[in-house]
Amino acid sequence: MGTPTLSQYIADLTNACNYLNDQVASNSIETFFNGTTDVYKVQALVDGIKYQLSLDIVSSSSEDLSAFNNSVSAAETYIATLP
Amino acid sequence: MPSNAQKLGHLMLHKTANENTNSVSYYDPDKAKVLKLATSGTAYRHWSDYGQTTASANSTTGVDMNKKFNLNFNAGYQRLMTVMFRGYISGGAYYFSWAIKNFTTGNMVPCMIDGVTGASVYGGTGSNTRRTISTLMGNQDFNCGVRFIGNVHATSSQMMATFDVSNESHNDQLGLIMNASSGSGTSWYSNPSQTLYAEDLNAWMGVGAAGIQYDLSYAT
Repeated sequence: MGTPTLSQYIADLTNACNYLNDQVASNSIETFFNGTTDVYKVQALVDGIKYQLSLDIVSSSSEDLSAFNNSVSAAETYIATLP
Repeated sequence: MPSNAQKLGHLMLHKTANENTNSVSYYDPDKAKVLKLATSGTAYRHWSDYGQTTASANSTTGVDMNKKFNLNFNAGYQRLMTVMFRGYISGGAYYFSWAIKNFTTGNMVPCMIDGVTGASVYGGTGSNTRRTISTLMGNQDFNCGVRFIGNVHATSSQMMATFDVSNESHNDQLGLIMNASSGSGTSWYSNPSQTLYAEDLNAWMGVGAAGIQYDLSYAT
């Protein structure tokens, strides 16, 4: 590869959302240390997906991003239930 | 408390005109390791590569992020190199770790932070993140890997880390490698469904220098 392309980002988002959906379905409570504090894995996945969705090359494209946004919304609903 | 004689016994002054080691070595009896101190010198920005590069996380031995340079030992710089960059791994099962690899010899370059593992940001006990080096105290095993910090799945500034390049040679080609890893960085995995990203890399021949964050802001 080299310089990232739109198709690369779409592939990343597809894979990330599939993994996120699985984590939500299995009620994941996995955490990790980000160098400062412990963070829920699902929260980091949501932040990562939002980050790639916000990139100009993605947000200004003609790709249908609704499935990705739906995954994020469902995950945020789940995260709100975590302690 | 060690005597002065013991302290002197731990100090190794072995800089010679034709030797690469342009720093002071000493033996740490607690860690049983030969460690190094930077000598005064020029914190020169030796290597910079701001553009974003990307690669599939499809290796267990370090993914080449296509950020490389050739060591220049002719200018009298310290043999300690401080590196920082920004990076992340796309969403998926794994986190990431990184290291500096000598692409001329195939060896990993030792990180100055050694013997600090587990929850530390400087993880790395797996075989892929270690290197055995011949020292005045015999063969010793050094840490080479650095664990991610920040939001692992979105661009984040990584921990500034100093590497000992005194075991490499003039004009060797060094480069950044990243790898999907466990959260602690101790185990490296191949997972082609995740992608590694790196950008805004800066490296100095010396220890950490001020102004780095300004450079990064300017670069973006």
